[in-house]
Amino acid sequence: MDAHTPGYYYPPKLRIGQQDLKCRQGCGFYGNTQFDGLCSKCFRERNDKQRKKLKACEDEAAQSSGASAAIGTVERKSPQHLLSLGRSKSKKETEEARNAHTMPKKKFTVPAVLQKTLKSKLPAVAQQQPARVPSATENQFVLQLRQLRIPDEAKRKLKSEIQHLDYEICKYINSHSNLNIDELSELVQNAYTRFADIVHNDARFEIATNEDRDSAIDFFEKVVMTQNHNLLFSPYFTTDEECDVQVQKRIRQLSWITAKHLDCSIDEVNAEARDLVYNAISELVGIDSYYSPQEKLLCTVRCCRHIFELLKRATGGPASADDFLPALIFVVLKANPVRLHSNINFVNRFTNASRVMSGEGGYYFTNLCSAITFIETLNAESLSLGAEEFATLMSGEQAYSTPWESALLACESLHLISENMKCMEQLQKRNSTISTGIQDFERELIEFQREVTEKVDAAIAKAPLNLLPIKTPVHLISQARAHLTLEVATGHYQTNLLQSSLSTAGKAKALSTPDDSLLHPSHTLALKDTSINSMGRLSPLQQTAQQDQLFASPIFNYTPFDAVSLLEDSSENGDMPLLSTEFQGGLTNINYDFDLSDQSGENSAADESKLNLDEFDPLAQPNLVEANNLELGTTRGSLIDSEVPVSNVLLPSPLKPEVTNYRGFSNFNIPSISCNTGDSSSLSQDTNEAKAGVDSLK
Amino acid sequence: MTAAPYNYNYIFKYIIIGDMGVGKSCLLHQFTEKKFMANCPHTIGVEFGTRIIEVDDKKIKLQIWDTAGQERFRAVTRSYYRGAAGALMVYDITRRSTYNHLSSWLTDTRNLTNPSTVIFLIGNKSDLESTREVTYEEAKEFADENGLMFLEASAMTGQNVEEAFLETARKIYQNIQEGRLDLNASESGVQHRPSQPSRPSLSNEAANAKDQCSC
Repeated sequence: MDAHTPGYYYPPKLRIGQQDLKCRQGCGFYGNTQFDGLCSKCFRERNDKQRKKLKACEDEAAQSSGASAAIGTVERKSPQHLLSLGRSKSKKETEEARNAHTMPKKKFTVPAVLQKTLKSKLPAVAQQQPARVPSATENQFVLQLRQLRIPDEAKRKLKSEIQHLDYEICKYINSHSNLNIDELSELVQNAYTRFADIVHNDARFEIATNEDRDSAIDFFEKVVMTQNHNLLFSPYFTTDEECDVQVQKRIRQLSWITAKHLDCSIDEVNAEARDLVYNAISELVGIDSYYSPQEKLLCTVRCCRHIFELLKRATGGPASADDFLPALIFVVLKANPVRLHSNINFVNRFTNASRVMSGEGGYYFTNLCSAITFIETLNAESLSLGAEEFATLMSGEQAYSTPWESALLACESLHLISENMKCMEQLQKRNSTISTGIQDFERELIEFQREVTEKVDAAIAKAPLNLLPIKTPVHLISQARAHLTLEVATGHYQTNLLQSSLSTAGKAKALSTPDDSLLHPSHTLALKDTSINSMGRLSPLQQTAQQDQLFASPIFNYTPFDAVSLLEDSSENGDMPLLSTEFQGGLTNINYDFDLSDQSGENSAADESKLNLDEFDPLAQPNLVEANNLELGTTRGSLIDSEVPVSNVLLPSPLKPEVTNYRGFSNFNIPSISCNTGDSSSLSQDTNEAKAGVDSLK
Repeated sequence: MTAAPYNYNYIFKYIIIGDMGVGKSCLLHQFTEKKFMANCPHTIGVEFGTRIIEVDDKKIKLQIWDTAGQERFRAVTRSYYRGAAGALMVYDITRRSTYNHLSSWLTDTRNLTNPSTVIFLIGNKSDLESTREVTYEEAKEFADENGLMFLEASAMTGQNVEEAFLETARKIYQNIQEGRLDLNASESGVQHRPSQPSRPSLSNEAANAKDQCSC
């Protein structure tokens, strides 16, 4: 029935520790419930002892079995004695019947049990009965008592108080004809208050800390409750048991309730959430496996923490009570714990009142009570269902398959279906978000395009692009001519040509004398050109338009050799002293002579010079640039930035070399040279101007 | 034996009531964690809704019970009220319906708590001035009529949250000082814990003290 007959009366525990399996005698072998929790060897030894004592005990047994009326007079050890008697009575004959199963002879059993009950549960008394085997629970209590950090006298006081309450409870249950659980509860509560009083005021506890006092009070409650669990838990004179059955039935009826009905955020098909719900459920079910109210409350706390964890994950933040209560109700519904009412009532009646009214345990316990009350009283309205629907669901007429149910039924396929359905739902949702996103994007694109077009149109409208035909003022032409003739005198260009023709030492050059080349530059060039025809792409047949000549100039297509050094060259030295003159001359010819090679033979130099002047008169440039200011903004900028003197504009036109006068032109700046050496800066200027020229031509 | 005094002298139990979504949990969170519910790893879960404050040099541990505000749970949440020393009644200034329900909450509170329970009215979400539906004056009048303390607070910004909790504690403490609260009654919602265990005079009041640490 209690600690001293553990083999038979322990309610089933969820967890069995290793030490619970061992022989209670502590010999290290495994015990057996058939042998009273002892190993076979210890059991036999004990039986032998008992048999020897049997005769001696028989009288005592006879006396005690008939002694229930004469209880009041017993001294020191009688409370235990009485207690056991009372218990065996309250449990009627079932106990003996069970004993009969395990013990071979009933005749032998009764005295044995009684003898055992005579031994006190507490070590002080137990020591008087060396033959007694303490139960595992008792051993634990003894150990805990030793660990309590209170003075020894205080421990003794604690012990006697425990015994006293034990006795009181027993007395109440046995003496009253019409038992009232509330009275019993009051009795226990008063005992708690009294003991707390003692702990806080008694001199024996004076040096103990508050924590130790509290643990003493806890210990008191725990021991008394554990020992008297059988008497106080769901007593026969209450309706607890009927309530248990009712609630259980009710919950079974409500099995169709889903998280949705309760508006709670439990994701029934999420594996992680389900695990947490399972944890919570197993804690909730585990409440029944503990004896003391404290442990039951602890179990509740653990259960509720799992639920909080669950809600935290579901909502992505700390949960509130608004979420918590529905979730707890859901868990209770799905757990359908055994003896729910009995457990709740046991805690409510026999734990220290302040325990359920404050603290974390109290809070969660209150929640649990509320959840149970809700389950008992819920109706269609509280689930926001129609009355009819509720009725059909309750009566089971309407089947209601839920993912949770299917999971619990271990119906894999059904469960898989609901999980997949959920998955599909999510996918669909995602799909629709993607398609709306695409539409949005398309719309945006169109909008963007429209905007851009609008802006461009506006910009064009504001500043229309007008290409004006090139106009060379008459007075400038004459000026240019004058300039050119002036430059002839310097002859710089001519010398270049000369040198190059000399040094190249081509087959053609060998024939021509310096004089020849001087006199007939075009001819020399032509010769030279043929020698350089090997450059391929500059086909001499390219005689079409001048723009071709400008653009197709070999150097334009080649990447500059070294932009930096060349830049320096062009800026510092007009004459390019760094470059070998031979090279300069040679390349100069390459650039400008190709077309000439074909044409020079036929056309007279004079003709060509005229033509060049008309079309490429560098002096027309400034005007041109101004005219095209808007369109060629950037180009112009670069021109200005490069700080090239205006004379640079006076480039040798591709056709120029024919004009003998032209030699001296590059006195100041020698664009032709820089072109040849790949000077990108001057080249780009050339090109720009050439382009401008071309544009204007067009 | 070394005397390890409690780090608090009293325990007050509060309950927070009010309609769903008025921000009860947020207020609690703001008070205990000093921040709005933003990715905080734990709320009630660990050391559920408690905080130690100081009133008149006395350390007081506030134990705050959050309640579910849904109408359908009204009937079953009555047990929360047992032994509450303070009740914070919350409504949402941007939702008139939550204000209209106050009278029924107040009735519950009056019926289910002892007369000395301090009731504090809080108009939450005072930061949402633009969508206000209940004026300060109106609520103040209601509070005065019913003898409630009143503040408008914001769990979001933390404005007035501390004040509401502390004022309630001060009022309860005042009641204790004036002897209006019976410390020995477990329904009082107050537990006294002597900070110096060696003084027997204080221990009288501690008869009711229970261990909270076992939880």
